[in-house]
This record gives sequence, structure tokens and C-alpha cells, in this order.
Amino acid sequence: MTVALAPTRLVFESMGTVVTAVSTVPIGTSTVDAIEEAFRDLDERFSLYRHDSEASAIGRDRSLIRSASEPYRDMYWDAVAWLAATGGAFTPHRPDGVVDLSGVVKARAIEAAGDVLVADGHLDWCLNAGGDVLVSGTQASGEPWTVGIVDPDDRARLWTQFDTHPGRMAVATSGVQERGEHVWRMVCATTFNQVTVAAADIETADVLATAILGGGIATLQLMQKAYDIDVIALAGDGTVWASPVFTA
Amino acid sequence: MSIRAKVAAVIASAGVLGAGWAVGTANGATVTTTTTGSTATTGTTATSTSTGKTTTTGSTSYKDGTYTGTTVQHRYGAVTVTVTISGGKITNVTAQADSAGDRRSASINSQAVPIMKSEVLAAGSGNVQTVSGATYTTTAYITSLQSALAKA
Repeated sequence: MTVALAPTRLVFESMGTVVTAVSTVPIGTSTVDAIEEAFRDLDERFSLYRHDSEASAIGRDRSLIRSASEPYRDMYWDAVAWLAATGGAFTPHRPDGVVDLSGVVKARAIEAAGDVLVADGHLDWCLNAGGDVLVSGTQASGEPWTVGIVDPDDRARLWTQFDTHPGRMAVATSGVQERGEHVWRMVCATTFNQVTVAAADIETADVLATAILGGGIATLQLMQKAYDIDVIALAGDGTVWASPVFTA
Repeated sequence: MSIRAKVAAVIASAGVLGAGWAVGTANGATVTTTTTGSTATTGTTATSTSTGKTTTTGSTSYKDGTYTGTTVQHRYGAVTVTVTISGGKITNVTAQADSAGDRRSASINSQAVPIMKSEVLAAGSGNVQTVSGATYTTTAYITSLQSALAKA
């Protein structure tokens, strides 16, 4: 008799990208459903490409923000707090006036999916949503989860890698070509083509990668004073800015 | 003494150890001690939190796993303690001191500096479990790479 094992790997599409979850033990059907639901729930409320989402309604008529749902207002104030913390380099406000919370929504979805895995007894796992990574524990071998970072000059190759460890369980990358509505460059900044940030949590990693990409070297230096993060970034002139962990 | 209090006590004493050690040693290194139990020796406090794992108060033994305490600030920097539980007992305590010296050195430790692209540590092929990159590339790329790694 063949016993079908539950997969330890889950791949699905959400938020316009691919989500992958890997655990060292099989991921049960109810856990799979809850992880997909965590993404779908946030996607349905916050996606601007969905005409029927709350975010789209507020995009069309900003005055609706006053009567927005509690989850929407929570996310909005979270994004505004990051705007203040990054000196405006991260912003939920597009130049055309539309409120775009996608810069924090994906990170929140990853966090929610991680919470699902923990609640269902998974200790060692790796989540990836469109290149933003959150891990817990280690591989089955006891080795750390290692995150490859795409070469900004040749995206078919890996550039460098990062070994996760406590305090650095999240890695996020932002690049100019993928510049979404939430990345707008500040005038006169010395700019980066790609920024990767490793942090304790995925929201910090994701938001600061976006902020440093938008704000350039000045923002990089400010954020390294304010947050405990490792950074590797490629500047427009070919210079690499890298924390020591990326060179040794 | 509850399990949580015991864990906190071990973390607290290890934190003191880390603090004392941090005074005269270089940044970023790790001090490790093996112990089967300990008591708090000062008023240093720490709460037991974990990276994606939970400890259960009131159970008869620790749950196996590795638990990382809250980063505790002290005069010479900050210390983060990781406790390993095996067979229901504490088998290892590791104190990671973020830095010695003043508070700024915590960020100096990880400060990004300008370098040549060729100086960047190359990715080791075959030992990467996942990939971080800009969204538009990763959609296809990650799926492909991860399916390849699954076969590796």
C-alpha cells in the first residue's frame, strides 16, 4: 500500500506573485488552506488591481478613508508610521494622490502565513513571497536557511547569499525595474538599482529595502543608525554598499 | 519556580556573563556556556520569547528546541541569549553580544560601506534554499530555482 505523504512544500500565486512555503515536516491540508487564506484575505482588501477591493474604492474617493474598515485603518497608520520613521523615503501616498499600502501588505501576509505555520506546530520553515523571505528555525540538517540574492546585473544568476540567524530571520529585496507604486525616488538622492535588507522581521526588511531604494545613500545611512539591519545595495555608478557579512 | 522563570533566570545570568565578557572583547563574537541550570545573580531581567516557537508554562519539562531571548540592553551594549533544550533539559546557552563600547557600535557592526562588486562574497551554488530578488524576476525565477533545488 502506498501512503501519500503530505507535501513539505507549498507553491501558489497571490498578490501578483508566487508564494512558496517549505517546512521540514509535511504541511497538512488545513495549514495549506490557512496560509492561502492569509494571503487571499489581505489581497482582497488591499489590492489596487482588484476593482472591488476596499483599497480601490478609497483610491477612487480618498474621503472614504475616514470610514474605512479597522484592518484598513490599521494598515494605513502602520504605513504612515514607516513614512515618519524613514524620513519620507517610504510612503503610502502615490504622487497622484492614491493611497497604496502594498508596501506593507505583502509583509503582513508573510507574517500571517508564518503565524499559521507556528500555530500548526511547524518550527522550521521558510516562506518566500515574490522574493521577500521569512524563515523560522533551521533546515532539517540543523544548517541555517540560506537565502540567495539575485544579481542585479544578471538576473539569471545569484549574486551573493545570506545565512539567516536569530535577529536576521527576514530578507527582502527591492529593485528599480520592479519599482511599484510605493517606490518613488526622492529628488537629488544618490540612488541604488537594487537593495537587499536582512532584519529580524519581514516588515522591517521589506519597508527599509523599499525606503533605501527610494531614498539612496542618505537613507541607507540613516536607517543603519536607527535599525539593526544588514544591507547590500548596488548603486547606479556600480559601487556596492555592503555590510561586512556580505564580504566575509 | 515556574519553567518560564527558570528559563528567564538562565537567560538573565547568561546575560550578565555576556555583559562582563563584552567589556573587554571584540564586537560581534559569541560566548557559549554549557549548563544544566542556573539562578539569577543580579536584578537583570529578561523575558523569554522565541523565534517562531513557544515555551509552555506549567509543563513538567522544557520543550525541545532552540529559544532566543529578548535582546537586553546593558551599559556596554546589548546581549541576546539563545537556549537549546534537548531531552527536556537545557544543554546549551549562547550569549550573542551585539557590541562592546557605546551604543553606536551596534550599528557600526553591520554598517554597509562602499566596496567593489568583486569583493562581494559569491553565492555558493547548491546550498541556497530560497532566493531574494526584485518581484518581477522572482515570479518565474524562484519557482524554477526552487523546483531545481527540490531535485538537488
